[in-house]
Amino acid sequence: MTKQQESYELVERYIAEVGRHLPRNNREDVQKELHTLLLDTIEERKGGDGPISAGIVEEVLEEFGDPTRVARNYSGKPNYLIGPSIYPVFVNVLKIILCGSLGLSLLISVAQVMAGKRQFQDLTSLAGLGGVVDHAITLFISFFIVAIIIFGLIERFGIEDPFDMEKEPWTPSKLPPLEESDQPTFAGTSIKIYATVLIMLLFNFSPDWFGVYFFESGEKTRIVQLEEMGFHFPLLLMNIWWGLALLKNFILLRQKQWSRLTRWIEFGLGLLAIVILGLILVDSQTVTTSPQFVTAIGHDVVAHVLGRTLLISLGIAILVNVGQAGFRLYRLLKPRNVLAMSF
Amino acid sequence: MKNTQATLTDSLKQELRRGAVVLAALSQLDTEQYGYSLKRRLGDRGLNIDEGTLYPLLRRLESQGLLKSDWRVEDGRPRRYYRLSTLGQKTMEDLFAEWEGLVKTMEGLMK
Repeated sequence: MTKQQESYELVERYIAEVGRHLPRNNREDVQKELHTLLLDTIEERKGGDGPISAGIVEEVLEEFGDPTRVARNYSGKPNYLIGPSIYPVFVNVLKIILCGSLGLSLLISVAQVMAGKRQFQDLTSLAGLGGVVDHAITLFISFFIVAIIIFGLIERFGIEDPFDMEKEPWTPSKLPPLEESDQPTFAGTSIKIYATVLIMLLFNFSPDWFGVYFFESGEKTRIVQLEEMGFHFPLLLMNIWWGLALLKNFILLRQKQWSRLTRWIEFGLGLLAIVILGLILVDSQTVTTSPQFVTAIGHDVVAHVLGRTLLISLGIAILVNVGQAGFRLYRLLKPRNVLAMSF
Repeated sequence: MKNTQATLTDSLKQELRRGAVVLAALSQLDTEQYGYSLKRRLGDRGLNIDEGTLYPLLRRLESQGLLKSDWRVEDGRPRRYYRLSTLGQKTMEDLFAEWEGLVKTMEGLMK
């Protein structure tokens, strides 16, 4: 890459970084305007027809300032539930909450033993430990929600630097590299096709592969299938999903790029995934109390915790798919910008 | 400590300039300008506004209905041109009258 190209790339990285902090509805338009504004400034700064030096580009970018601040000025209001200025503190608080929940749950159990409400043996058994973890998860979720509300309020009311964090001045060298384009690669698409075919065949013809294995003396002796545990899978819909996924990936392999057709198929796959996950979630509510599941795990409390975690994960997966489907639909319906960006 | 006198003064200066910047930008948009030409025009008249403030401000004024804009390709580059809307013209006149009154009052107070 020549020096000139490197300078242009730095401008693109800056624009991409501002865009990352902008709301999607006006991101493209603001980026396009910022692009011309930067080039206007750079060209006047260099003067004449000479090449653009990295020094001039860096100087101009420093004058425009921290991309996060520029994006905030453009949007005029916080775009985040928890913005980048307080996010590092939020992550540290979450770590403390995670450790604290486990510690608090353990302390409560020990206090119960000391108060004579529980036997010490209960606490040291696998079931007892499962109970401690279950309690810790409940505590963590409660504290997590409180932390989100507090940090969300700090962000919403724009309390600047609430934790008095010393920040280093922003420089263009801090710009992250440009993200890879989302165009499909031959290797990635091929792997997806092989994996889809493999899972489809296994689920249809060898469902006994999916379940909990039991080992005795290092030998696999028995398996409890997921359906025996209380999981119910809508196999017909799942086959349709796999079929559509294969169709999409074959088209991508042939066209070598995303098109409106493949984007619509992707959107349809997302909707179908929501239906499938929803059906599994609704039909598998008995999983935590299923005798087969409890027998398979060996302890009712551990089975309960594990079953609940699986069901919560399904719920989260549904929410993620709803969000993605909404975003994909927005991208599909959004009017396309006719003015191309160019240097 | 951050709350030194210099930091406080900087912060108050910024606050003082904030309203003036809006009026300054509006005052120059009776003729059509794109972002960079407006910045240069204001700079030539002694008011340097940093890019990270001026360009987003134009967007905000447009979303408030005070400016109109459209994209045009000139010199091989697409540019967004801004100009005052009817509402912007009226608002600028009101703000200018307010500004003149404020300047007179402040001059009296500062004597």
